[in-house]
Amino acid sequence: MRRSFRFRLTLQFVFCILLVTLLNRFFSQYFANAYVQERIEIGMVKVLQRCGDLYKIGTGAHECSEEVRAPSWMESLPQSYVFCDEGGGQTASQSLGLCLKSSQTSTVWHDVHDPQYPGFESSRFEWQAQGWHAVRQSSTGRMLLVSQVVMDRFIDELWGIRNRVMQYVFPVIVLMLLMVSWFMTRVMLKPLNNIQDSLENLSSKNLHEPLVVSSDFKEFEPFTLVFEQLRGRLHNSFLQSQRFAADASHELRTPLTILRGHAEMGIAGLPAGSEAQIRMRLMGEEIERLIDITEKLLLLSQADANNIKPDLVDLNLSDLINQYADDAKLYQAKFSISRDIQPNLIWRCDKQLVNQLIQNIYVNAIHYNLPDGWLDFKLHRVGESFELILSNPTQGAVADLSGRAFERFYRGDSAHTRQVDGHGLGLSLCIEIVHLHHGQITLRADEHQVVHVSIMAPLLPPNTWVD
Amino acid sequence: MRILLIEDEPKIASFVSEGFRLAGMQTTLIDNGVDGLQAVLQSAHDLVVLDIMLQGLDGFELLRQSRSAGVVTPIIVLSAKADLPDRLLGFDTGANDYLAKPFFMEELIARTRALVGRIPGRNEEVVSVAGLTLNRLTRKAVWLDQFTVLSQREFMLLDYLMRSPGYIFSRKQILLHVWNFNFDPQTNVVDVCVQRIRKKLMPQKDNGLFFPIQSIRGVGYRISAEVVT
Repeated sequence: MRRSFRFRLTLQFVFCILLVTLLNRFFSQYFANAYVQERIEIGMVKVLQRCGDLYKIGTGAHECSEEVRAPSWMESLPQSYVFCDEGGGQTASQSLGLCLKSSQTSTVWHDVHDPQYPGFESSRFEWQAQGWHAVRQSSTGRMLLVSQVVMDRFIDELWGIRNRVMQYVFPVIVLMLLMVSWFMTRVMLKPLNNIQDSLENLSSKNLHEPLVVSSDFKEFEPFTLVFEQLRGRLHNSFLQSQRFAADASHELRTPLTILRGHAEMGIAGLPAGSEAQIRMRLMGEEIERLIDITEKLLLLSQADANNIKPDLVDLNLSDLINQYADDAKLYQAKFSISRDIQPNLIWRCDKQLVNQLIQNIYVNAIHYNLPDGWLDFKLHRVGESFELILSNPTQGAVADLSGRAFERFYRGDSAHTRQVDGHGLGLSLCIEIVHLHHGQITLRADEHQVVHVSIMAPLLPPNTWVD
Repeated sequence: MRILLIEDEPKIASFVSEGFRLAGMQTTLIDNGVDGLQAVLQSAHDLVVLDIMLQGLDGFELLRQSRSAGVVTPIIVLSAKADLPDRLLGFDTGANDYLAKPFFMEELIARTRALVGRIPGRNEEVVSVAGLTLNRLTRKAVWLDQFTVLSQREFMLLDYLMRSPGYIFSRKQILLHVWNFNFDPQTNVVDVCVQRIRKKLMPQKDNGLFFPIQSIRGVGYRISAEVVT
C-alpha cells in the first residue's frame, strides 16, 4: 500500500517539534533551577532589607512577609529559615550554630547578582550535612538563611505545578501541532499540486501550449522548467508520431496498391487453374497478409499518436453479437453455442473499428478452441455501459495469457504448435479500439482452461453524458 | 465508357488502365494536376478517377476548382489517405466516391459502373450474366428454367460475383465482402455456400451446361462472362 507523503511529512514535523520541546524542557529545567535559586536569593535580600528591623525586635517572619508584601514564595517558607543579627541572635529556629557557621571567615560570600541591591552578599555552604543558602547585608552583618532542602522542595513544587498544567495543555498542543503541520504541509505541497494540475490537463489537444503553473516561488522554477522541457520533447515526439502515421500511410499504401493490382491482373491474365495462376494467387495472399499487417500497424501507430478520429454511428450491438453467434456453426459444426444477449443494446461507436474488435476476439475464440468445444456469448447492460463476455475452452499454457495477450506481436504457444494463422496484433489492436471508446477489455483464463474476454464500455461517448 | 485517369504513379496507372481496358472501358491517362484540371474542365469523359497526391495541383484542389466551374462528371478519388477526415474532405469538395489505397481493381470497376450506370429510368434491380439473372430486391435468382429465392449470404455472394463477370475472386476476398471477415476461418464456408446456390439453381447435374459459377482450383471462384456449353 502506498503511503501518504503528506501524512508522513506531518508526522515528521510533529516528531521534530516534540523532540525540540523535550530537549527544551530538559535544558530549561537545568538552567531554570539556577535562575529560580537566584530569584529566591533576591527575594531573601528583599526580606532582609525590609524586615531586618522587625526580626530584630522579635517579630516573626510570617508577619513580616505580610507587612512588607514579600514575594509569595516566602509564604511557603515560614519556620524554614534562620535569621541572624550582628550578635548571632536568631529567630524562628534554634540554629545558633548555623549563624556562627555563616559568620566564620571560611565561608565565601559573593555579591548578589542584582545590581539593585548593592551591599548584599550571598553564599552557599554546608552545615550539619545540609546545604544552606544565605544572604547577608554587609553593613549590618544581618543574615537570612534558607535550607537547600526547602528550596529544592519549593522548586519541585514549581515544576510539579508546571507538569500538572502540561497534562492538560499537552494534548491541546499536540492537536494544534498536527493542525498547523497539516496546514503547513498543504502550503508546502501546493506548488507541487499546481504542477500536478497542469500536467493532468495536458493532453494531445493542448500539447503545443506552454505549461501554465501558478507558483511564484523561485524554488519551484527548476521543476516547472524541467516539466516544460519534458512537454516540449513530448510535443515533438507526438508530432513525429503523427507524421510517421501519415507518411507511412502513404509510403506503404502506394507500393502495396501496386503489388495487389499487378498480382490481381496477373491472376486474371493466366490460364484458369494453371500452376502459374495458383502460384500467383499464393503470392497474392501473402500480399493480402502484408496489407493486413500494415493496416494494423498503421492503426496502432495512429492510436499511439492519439490520432484516430472515430466515425460514430448507432450500432445495434445485440444484433451484431447474435449474428456472430449464428455464424459460429458455419466455421465449426461441432461447436456448442450458448448465448445470453440482452436485445436492442445500441452502442454509439465506430462501426468499422468495432467490427474489427469483435471479429478479433471472435477469431481467437474459434482458432484457439477445442475441436468439439463451445462458445458462450453474454451481453448485458450495466448502468450506462454494456458488458460483453465471450468465453471458450482452450488447451495449452494459459498461465501467462492474461498478462501478455495484449502485447504487440505476442502469440501464445498454441498459436505456433497449431499453426494458427495470424501475426499477434489482433488483441493489441482491440485494446486500442476499446480505449478509443472509453472502455476496458480484460482477458482471463480460469482453472478449467476456459478463456473469458470481457469488454465493458459506455453505450454513449462520455462527451454526450448528461450531468 | 470513357474514363479520365489522373494518377502520377505510373505503376498504379498501368494496372488501372489495363483493368479498365479489360472491362471494356477506354482510359485517358494524365500524370499531373494542372493538365488533369484542364482535361476535367473539358468534360469529355464519363467519369474521372483522381489521385490526391499529384504534382502541380493536388487532387482536393482540382476537385474544388472543377466543381466551382460547374463540372458534374462523376469523380472517384483514389487516395492513400484513408482516415475519416480525409474521406470527409474528399466528399465535401465534391467527390462522388472515395476509394482508399490499396484497392481491388474489381472494386474500382464496380464502383465506376455503379456511378456511370446511375441513369434515371434504368432498371438496376435486375442483373443478368451468362444466362443467370438476379433480382436485387426480391433476392430471386433465375437460371434457365430454374428459379429460387436465395438466403442473405447466398444472395450477397452471387451478387458480388456477378458484379465482375470473369474476374477470379479468392476465398479471402469473398469472405471479406460477403461475411465481412478479414480472416480465414480455415473452414469451407465459401465452398458450402457456392454449393448451395448451385444445388438450388441446378438440381440435376447433367444437363449439358456448365453452371456459371466456376471454381478455379487453388485460386478461387468466378462467374463466366458468357454461357459455357
